[in-house]
Amino acid sequence: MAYIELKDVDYVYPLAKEPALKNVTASFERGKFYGVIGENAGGKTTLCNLLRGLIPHFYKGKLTGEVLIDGEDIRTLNMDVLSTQMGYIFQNPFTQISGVKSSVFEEIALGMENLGVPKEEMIEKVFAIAELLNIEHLLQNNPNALSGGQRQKVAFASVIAMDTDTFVIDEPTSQLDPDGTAGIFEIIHKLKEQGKTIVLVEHKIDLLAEYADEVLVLKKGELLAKGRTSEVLSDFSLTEQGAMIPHTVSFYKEFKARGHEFSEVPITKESCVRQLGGMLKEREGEGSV
Amino acid sequence: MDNRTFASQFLEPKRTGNFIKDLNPLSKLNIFLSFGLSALILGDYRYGFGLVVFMLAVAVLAQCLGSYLKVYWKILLFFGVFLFGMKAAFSPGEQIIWQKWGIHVSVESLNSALVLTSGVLAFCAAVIMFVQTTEWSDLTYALEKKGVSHVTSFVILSAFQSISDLGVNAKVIMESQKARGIETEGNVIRRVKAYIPVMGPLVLNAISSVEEKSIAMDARAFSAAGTHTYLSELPEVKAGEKALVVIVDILLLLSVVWRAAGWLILN
Amino acid sequence: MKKWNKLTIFLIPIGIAVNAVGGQLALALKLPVFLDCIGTFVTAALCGIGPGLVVAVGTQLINAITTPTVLAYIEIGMLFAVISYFFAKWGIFKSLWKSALSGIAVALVAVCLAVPTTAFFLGGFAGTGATTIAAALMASGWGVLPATFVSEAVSEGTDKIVCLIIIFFVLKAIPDRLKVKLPNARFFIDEVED
Repeated sequence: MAYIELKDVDYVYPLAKEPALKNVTASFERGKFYGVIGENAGGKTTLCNLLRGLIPHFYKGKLTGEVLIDGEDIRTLNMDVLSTQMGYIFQNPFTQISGVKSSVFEEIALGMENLGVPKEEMIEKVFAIAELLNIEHLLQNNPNALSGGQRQKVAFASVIAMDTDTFVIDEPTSQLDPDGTAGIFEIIHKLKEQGKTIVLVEHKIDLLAEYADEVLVLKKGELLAKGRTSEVLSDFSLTEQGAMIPHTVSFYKEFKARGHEFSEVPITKESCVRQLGGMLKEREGEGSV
Repeated sequence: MDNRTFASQFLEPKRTGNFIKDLNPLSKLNIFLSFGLSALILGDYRYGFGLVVFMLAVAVLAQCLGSYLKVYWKILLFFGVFLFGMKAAFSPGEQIIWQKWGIHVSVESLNSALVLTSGVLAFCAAVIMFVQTTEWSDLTYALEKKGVSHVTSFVILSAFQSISDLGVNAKVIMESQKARGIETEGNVIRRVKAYIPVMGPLVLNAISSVEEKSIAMDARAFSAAGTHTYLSELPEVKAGEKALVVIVDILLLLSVVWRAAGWLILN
Repeated sequence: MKKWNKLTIFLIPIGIAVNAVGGQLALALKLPVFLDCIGTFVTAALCGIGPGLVVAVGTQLINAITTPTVLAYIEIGMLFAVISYFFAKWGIFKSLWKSALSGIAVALVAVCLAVPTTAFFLGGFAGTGATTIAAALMASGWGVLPATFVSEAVSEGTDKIVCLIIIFFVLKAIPDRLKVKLPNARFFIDEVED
């Protein structure tokens, strides 16, 4: 049985005219990394809200179709219990800082306090996570005095400190520079290697291409595609519908247009570089032009 | 400070080393409130002013004389001088000492002014002293240990932080509105007109953020059932401290009895 | 009492902060009004009497940190919360004129409660601008009680009318999709049933 199953799901926010999700059918397995891409207002955040149980419990509105988490209907699940099983990180760094702790150290520990984690364990975990996210130098700072990017990292740290089975993450790198962004992706990858299930909404398609097992494409509330990363990201009919493609794939397209074939569509940087290197070697082997 | 040293403070119950500051927040609340109320109830200006001096001594002992005076001097000015002045000038009385332009200072008015002023000053001193020696997060911890929900703790602490955040936002919005031509100086009408362009966006932003804040706190298992642990804890209340609280409470009780007895005798 | 929903809990600190900063802003702009109860009214209107009361009491307790004498007036803020709930229920906040006129009613209530406290407890000395009026009146022979009454009426009257007007605009400007999540949505949005 799949971990999370959506069948013919339609959802309309209260007082809204248009549905935010139309006829969405998808299933998610444990331990996989799912990327979600699409234009703005396409339903990505709504999908996150749904997986997290905020729809229907927090947002109300009209939900039709079947949504099962481990076989149980989401409408009957207790959202408070779900909060201990599903971590949720979203975009706005300013609202995710609690405002009730005076040091980043205590801020990261807040979730663990609520979960009843013993003190010594909390302390060690905070150190481990701070090291992972490179924020050890911020541990003694006041969270309310941090920059947007710093807050985003602290919010991220605070949620992964809770060590839930699943993480639903909605654009966690919007305020980070390329280094910070790469760091976050590496950590998400590590989480996946620990067996966690990840659902990540991102615009940074190149990084998603490197790490995600499967990709979902949403447009205007409809699920255009769901499948293995390499298949979805090399499906050019999607590009025509507005889905973005990684740089590696656009290289592939440009080279193909000039008559140079890659042996396989390069999704990851490694694959692209390797294949380009191979093509260059071939060219060198052909002698001078 | 090294991070490990910083973290080690959590392994031990929190202590500042100052006897007064280390009293349990609820004990302090009880003690200071009882002192303050006793002054108001007794209505004896010698007790009242005596308590004011006593609180100054407490401020010295608690090593917060500077910050205490910074808040208290305003009270001293408004209530010590102006309240006293008004009460002395306008309260009814028979034995007039000085009279001019509708002001009539009498023995009775001076007396009632002294009583009122001393009571108010003493009460304010006690309350301000409590605030000076207590951290809010310690108070919420103590309340939670007594069974108060952590939702209440959150509301209290978040209120303080929100006041600070909104204050900062207000300044930012005011600057940006000034840049747009809204004037904040000049005649009353102009200043009144400046209020809504600042307050409006401020309140709306604040209210909109509530939704996301609620989701964010939910993501930290804010509403999860089950036991709560604490990173930072306060020491257990010792018997000596409990005795001190009882003594001060008895003092309060005595002052009520004294006053009641005095009133009964007069009648 | 209905179970408070999650949003209400998080709105309360904001309500308190709006009271505090609203007052600070009025002071910064040197306005002759207080404008320090907007948060109470908005919270009570959107969420109910209970949350409004918490905002009112919370604000007074925090104000008491620097000026403990405000505790004597704590019941006034609490009454504002109750009044605001009923105003919301009766649709007063749907009309600018109704809101402004109700400001007078609110001021009257505030004055009736504040005057005894100020007159008897503090001898007519509220520590605000009203005090100058009271002092002037008393110097020309008015008794403590009437002097306090007039000074408070003028002060509160202006303040509350302006307050209610601002509250009307604020409540109007809050997007429906936010209001609909709050307990008193039915007072503001016609499509919502109880």
